[in-house]
Amino acid sequence: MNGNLALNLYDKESLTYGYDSNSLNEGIVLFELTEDFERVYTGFNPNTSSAATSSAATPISNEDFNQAIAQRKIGRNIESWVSVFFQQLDNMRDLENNWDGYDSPPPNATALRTAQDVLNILHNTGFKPSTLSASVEAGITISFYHEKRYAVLECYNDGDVCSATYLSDSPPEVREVGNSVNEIKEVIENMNTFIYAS
Amino acid sequence: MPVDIPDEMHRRGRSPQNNFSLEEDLYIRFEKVTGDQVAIGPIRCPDQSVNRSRYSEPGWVLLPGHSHWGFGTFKVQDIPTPMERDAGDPYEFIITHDPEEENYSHSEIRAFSNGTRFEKIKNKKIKLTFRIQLSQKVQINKLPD
Repeated sequence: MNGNLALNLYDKESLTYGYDSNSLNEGIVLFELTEDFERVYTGFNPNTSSAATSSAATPISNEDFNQAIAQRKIGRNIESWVSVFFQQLDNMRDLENNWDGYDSPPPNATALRTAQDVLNILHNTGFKPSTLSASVEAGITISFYHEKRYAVLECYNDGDVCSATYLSDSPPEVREVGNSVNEIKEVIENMNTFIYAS
Repeated sequence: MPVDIPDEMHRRGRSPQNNFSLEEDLYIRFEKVTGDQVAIGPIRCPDQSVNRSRYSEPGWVLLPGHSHWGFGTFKVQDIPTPMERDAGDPYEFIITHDPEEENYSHSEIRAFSNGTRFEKIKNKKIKLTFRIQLSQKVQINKLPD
């Protein structure tokens, strides 16, 4: 396994992402194994069998790693903005209760998983967010902006998702979104259309 | 190293003064922006904290320990209120002077309905709408570093 491994296509069951084996410090994103493998890791370097990040990471054998990769279709290469946002998500795993000084709970595994789904879709569609942050409303906020047009997607700890689109000085159109992949894809497509409307 | 705060910020035994004019400026601090507006994620609903201008200078909202953050201004009349809901009386968002020992000007935007305070609102659409509409009203004075 060498060179730049292309990002695997989105797969909700496995949530497998890509990595850059030539540089653990740049372009690295989260990497989770499928349910076929019990152990998960982040920032794994198959050449050294060591986990690059996350104290919770557990290295796996090269054989298991290669088998996981071989089972997936190959997508296009990771763009740097994708890895940056995945790293921000990874950093949120370390947040604790009262992370903001106002007793807000941190994003939990449910919100992180939904946000990962969203980032996968955004990467596959080339729709780059403006900001990604923990929400004081117990979840994760992903925001978009282009020429006075805004869109927001919030992934909550209880699994709910809400979206909003609005102009800078107009009332927002807010809706509740189902958390299935298809429903999220549809709302992201609508947000993309809104943001870049001429 | 502790950050000194001005003597005038301390409460010094002063009582709350809930006599807000609609024109009074309120100061809010934030860590991120999206486009030219305050990022939505950190805005709370209800109970967003602000400093009221009647008893503070604008930059005090970054004290202590948030000097690298940004801050902005909006007026009491800019608070999004009332907000209708499917069941029950609308939510009224009211600025309330809530002094702290080291910040006399501390205030909160609290939610009430039919005179009853709501410290938690379950309806995520209402909360997101409020947070966005508040963000739209903030005039940014200083961007985050």
